[in-house]
Amino acid sequence: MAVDAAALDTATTPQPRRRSRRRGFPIGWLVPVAILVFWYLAYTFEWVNPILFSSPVEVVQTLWTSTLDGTLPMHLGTSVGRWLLGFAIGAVLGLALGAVTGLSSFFERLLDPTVQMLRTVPIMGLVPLFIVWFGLGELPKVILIAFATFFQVYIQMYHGIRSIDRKLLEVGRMYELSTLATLRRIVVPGAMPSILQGIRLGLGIAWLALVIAELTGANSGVGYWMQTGREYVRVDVVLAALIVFAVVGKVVDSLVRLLERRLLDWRDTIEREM
Amino acid sequence: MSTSITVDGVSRVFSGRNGDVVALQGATFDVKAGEFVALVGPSGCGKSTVLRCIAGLDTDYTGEVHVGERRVSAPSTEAGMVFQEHRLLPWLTVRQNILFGFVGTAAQQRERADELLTLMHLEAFAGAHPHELSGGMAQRAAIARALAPRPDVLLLDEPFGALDAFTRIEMQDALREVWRQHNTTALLVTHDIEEAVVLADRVVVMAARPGRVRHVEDIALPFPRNRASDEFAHVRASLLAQFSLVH
Repeated sequence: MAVDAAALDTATTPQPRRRSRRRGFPIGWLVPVAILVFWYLAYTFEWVNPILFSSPVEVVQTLWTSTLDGTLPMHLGTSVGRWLLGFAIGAVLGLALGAVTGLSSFFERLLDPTVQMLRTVPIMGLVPLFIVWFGLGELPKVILIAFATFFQVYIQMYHGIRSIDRKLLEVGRMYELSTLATLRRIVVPGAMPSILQGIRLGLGIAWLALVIAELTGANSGVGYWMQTGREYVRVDVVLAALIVFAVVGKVVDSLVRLLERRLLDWRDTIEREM
Repeated sequence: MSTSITVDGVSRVFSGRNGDVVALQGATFDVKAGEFVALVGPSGCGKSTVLRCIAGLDTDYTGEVHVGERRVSAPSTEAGMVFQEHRLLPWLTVRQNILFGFVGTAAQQRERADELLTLMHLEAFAGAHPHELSGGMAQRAAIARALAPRPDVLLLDEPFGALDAFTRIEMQDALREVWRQHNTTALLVTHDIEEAVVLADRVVVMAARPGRVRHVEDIALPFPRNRASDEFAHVRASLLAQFSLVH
């Protein structure tokens, strides 16, 4: 009886679904392309002041020539270096402190209020202070980026740990898991969606902090390049720099999403159904 | 190996904002080694509380709980627990979930997992994740996980409460079968009297407010039990009569 019923159960319920990634027409590109066309038309028919605007063709040319003469690769390299260094420092600190306050109520009560207070400080407001303290070199920029990253990662880590189902922790208790084994086998995998979300948001905010740092008192980097464009009223350079910022930001975001999909494969079906 | 369970004068009080609630008052009963006992009662009778005390998940009780010779003061791998929700880890496959508490070499792990997957009719779903399973399949995987380390006692907290009637009947038969094969002591908490009569050698009837043991009844019917027989109906009616006294 049990065998028959179970066989029936298996027969009538769907087999484990494999991921099917159907990709239709990429409609996400429609809006950017429309903006580009509109921009081109606006410039060509002089709906805008041509001195304060340049054509898309001109911007592409600027991108091309500055890539060939090495200006853009140099600035981009400097920017990406700062960005990743600042992000790495901020993310490591955020993960560590988030884990501490997430796991211990004592440290939560001790440290979380301070972190929440500092979190509300606008990073723009820190720039003058950091310049006074750390000068105009790399240090204030990296610290600013790390500072901005820290809070995003910290909050996600903290919430990731706090939102772990207590019922799953009870399963760990039933098998007499040590604290370390509980962390490794239940807490970390359970918090992983939040951790990756924190990394993605952290990279984004670090990118913003990078632009702020480079627009104020830098002598290299894409932000600095943009600044020179403003000074010489080279609108094409300003727009080219903006495009670089947008493209790099988007590419990195896509890479992290790809990583998320790999690591959180078990969640994939749920997300698609929601 | 199976082990006895002794519950002796166990009381548990929950302190809340609206004063204390006596969840359990002086509960006393035992489960013999290798026996299948069902704990039935209305909601609030403390049947889940007593199970959590036996599991070692709740230690704020007075009185004594023994599993074999050991006085319970913390969870132990001697006991396998199946909860009302399957509580499978969502990031592990069915196979990995089943082996969650199993310690052994890679070969032993493979063998044990294959054995339980077959026993529970989950072979086709070994590599699936919990969200891909139906409720019945997930609960079968949870039972397999509890059995994997060959526990001395199997504790089940309304394991089929969330399943539909057809799946429940099928699961009850499957449970009795795996219990027999594993030669373990089983204690099943349920609010379903028919479930208790189908599965148990003995039924402990509990009453609410305060939670206490009201009556213990031996179920002498032979296995496999026929839910449609007159004898079955008779036993069920006599147990139901116990509840009509409860107010």
